[in-house]
Amino acid sequence: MRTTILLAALVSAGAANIGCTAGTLPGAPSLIPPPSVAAVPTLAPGVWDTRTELAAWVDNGATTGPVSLIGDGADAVIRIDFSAGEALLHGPTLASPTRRVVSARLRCRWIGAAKHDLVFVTMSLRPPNPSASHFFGGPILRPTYPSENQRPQLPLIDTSAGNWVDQDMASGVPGLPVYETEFVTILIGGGTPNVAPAAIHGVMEIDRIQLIGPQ
Amino acid sequence: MTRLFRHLAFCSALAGGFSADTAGAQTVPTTHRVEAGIGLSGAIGGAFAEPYATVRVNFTRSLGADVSGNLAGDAGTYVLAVHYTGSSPSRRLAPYLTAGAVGTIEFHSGQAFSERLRATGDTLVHPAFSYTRVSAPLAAALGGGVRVALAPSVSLDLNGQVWLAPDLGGGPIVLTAALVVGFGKVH
Repeated sequence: MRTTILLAALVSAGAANIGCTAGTLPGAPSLIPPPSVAAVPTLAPGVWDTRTELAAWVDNGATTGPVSLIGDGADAVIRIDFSAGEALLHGPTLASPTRRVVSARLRCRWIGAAKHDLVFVTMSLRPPNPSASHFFGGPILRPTYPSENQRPQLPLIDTSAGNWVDQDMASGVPGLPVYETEFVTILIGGGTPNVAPAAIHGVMEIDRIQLIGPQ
Repeated sequence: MTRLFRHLAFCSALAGGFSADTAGAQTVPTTHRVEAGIGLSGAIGGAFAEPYATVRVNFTRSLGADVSGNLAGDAGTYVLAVHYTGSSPSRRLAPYLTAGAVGTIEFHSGQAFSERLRATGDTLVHPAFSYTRVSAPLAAALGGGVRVALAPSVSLDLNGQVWLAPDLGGGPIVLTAALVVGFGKVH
């Protein structure tokens, strides 16, 4: 009987202490930033309008997709050919005071859209030195509309007329928070960062990019 | 599964050493003897025919300790139990009872991979990982079975257990069948 009790006690003690984890647990990811893009002087802080200024968003080794720069001087535009897919415009590294971003505005037009095409424009405000854990791209600005019933990420501009539009972009977060931003990217095409792009038609031209800071 | 079997084999080697068993085919446990076996397990109304392994250390002729486990893919269960062998009218049959605890074993692993964030062009690099998690006991395990001698050191172990968790009204009944080989001294 004594042996039985002793054995039962030993097994119980062993069982009570057995819960454990051994090995290499999943570690935090590390982050490799994209190539940095040198800042260019602009006539107005946070506004890229001329060919020289817009070139900082196109010819920089970090922008991807069917993007080209056409026209000269203040008439220059960034052109995105949707027949070849979506585009990610990677902006130059921001310097103070333009690092503090509240909203943005794009002057643009969409030419040659098909009847049921939808274009999505997502502006990501990449924070400086983000932690790799739980990082998905930083705050996002989306097109805003006068009507409260219209949610962000509707078609950016009038698809039938191809008119120039000054499109406001905002986070939709109440209180207009200020975001410390190292650089800005603009994803333009048939999808969003979380939605695979659908094929759309025509070209989009961007005449001016403006970042708006706190008033 | 390979790691589990390797672990059980290591326990066998530690506890018993290896020597030839020349006794006749009988199932009466002998002291300071280690037995190891592999087979299949299944739960009534649940998993069916999962790989199963068991190691038993006999401390006296009637008392021993069992460590056993089953594995399906990268997860399984373990049982730690006290083992009591009763008297039998036949030398080839050894009925027994067990009482102990059951817990879970999980093996997790993943390759390193990287992903590019479409929103910003950043690349996240996720490192590889590989770890084993053994839970504390989750339920009591009560059961019994019979061991049928097939050869001097080889027997067939047929076992049934009910696992009783505090938060379960009933408990799964787990059946196992294993071919067991004995190692160690015969007294």
